[in-house]
Amino acid sequence: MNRTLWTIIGFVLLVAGVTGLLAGSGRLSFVDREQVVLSPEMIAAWNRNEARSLALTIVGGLLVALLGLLLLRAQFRRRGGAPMADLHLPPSAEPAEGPQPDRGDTEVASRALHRALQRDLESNQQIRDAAVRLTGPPDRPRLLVRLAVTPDADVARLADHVDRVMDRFTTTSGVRPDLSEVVVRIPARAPARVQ
Amino acid sequence: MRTTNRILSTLLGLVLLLAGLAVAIEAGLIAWGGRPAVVPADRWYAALRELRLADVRFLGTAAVVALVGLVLVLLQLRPWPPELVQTSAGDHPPLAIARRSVEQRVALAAARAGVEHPASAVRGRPGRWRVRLRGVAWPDRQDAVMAAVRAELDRLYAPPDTPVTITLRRPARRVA
Repeated sequence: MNRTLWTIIGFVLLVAGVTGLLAGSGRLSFVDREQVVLSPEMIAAWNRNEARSLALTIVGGLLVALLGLLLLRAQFRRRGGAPMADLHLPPSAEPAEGPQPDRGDTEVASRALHRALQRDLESNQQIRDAAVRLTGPPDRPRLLVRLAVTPDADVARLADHVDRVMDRFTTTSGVRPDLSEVVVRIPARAPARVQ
Repeated sequence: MRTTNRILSTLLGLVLLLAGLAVAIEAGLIAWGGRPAVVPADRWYAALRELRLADVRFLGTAAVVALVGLVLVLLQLRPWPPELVQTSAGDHPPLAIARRSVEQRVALAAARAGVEHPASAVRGRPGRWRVRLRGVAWPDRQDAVMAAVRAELDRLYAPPDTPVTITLRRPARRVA
């Protein structure tokens, strides 16, 4: 999105600059190069209806400020939308023998699920730090994983580990998330000495 | 480039927010009979009434604006290296590895294989990428370096057909 935005800004600046150069060097037949930037006609047009001009300027300024705010917000938005809601498990329908105890609902906090996944991922020696994000509906959330691994990590084994973690998570929570992205980062370390 | 764009966009957002509010407030002050508080509107008004299109200051500004626009367009439209590259599909859904991590690991593997000043670059698309390695070593090391890089790519679980190009420059003198 930023790339498109800056391409458009670049084109607008390029066209504006080239037009200015052409006008200033007298190559545009409909513009007199001796004309001043703020011509008396423009000033007259402003003065003819000063109240409306000022009102338009105020509205324009507020619109520009709003655009700026939206652009700022877009830069700080997190990927994948809001985190998954807490998991709500209704009482099981299986008939129980004997006197029925009071059955309640079970709630699993979304934060608890996040933490469980993170801990399980970090149980592997090759993973130094794991960050997980579950988003979307609780019955079928999307999962984003970021792993910081040791400098000599074997990525095929990491993939195995992630698979096993997902299986364990499904067994314990009953939720099978869509693994939408696993990003592996290998932090830099000092170059190895040549033997 | 993605980070640069993000920083540029954040700055632009801030500038638009502040400039827009300033314009609205100053115009409001003028509308209610006051004087602009921050923006030196009178000075700008006087200057712009004098400035001609043929003036060298106007031409200079236009040239700078055009140049900035051109640089922006070129930087944005030039192909960018992928930020993440995908591992081999295999039995698992593919993982994504940071491109810089792959470049570092390949350069380290080349250094262990005896290449001096190794520099590796990953280019292409996330699902179809290639590795280029440059460094200083004797040409007879070419095969050994290639084997080391391939082994490292295997450990990174890279697709087995990832193209690798190795360019070695001769050292200035033979090291014993």
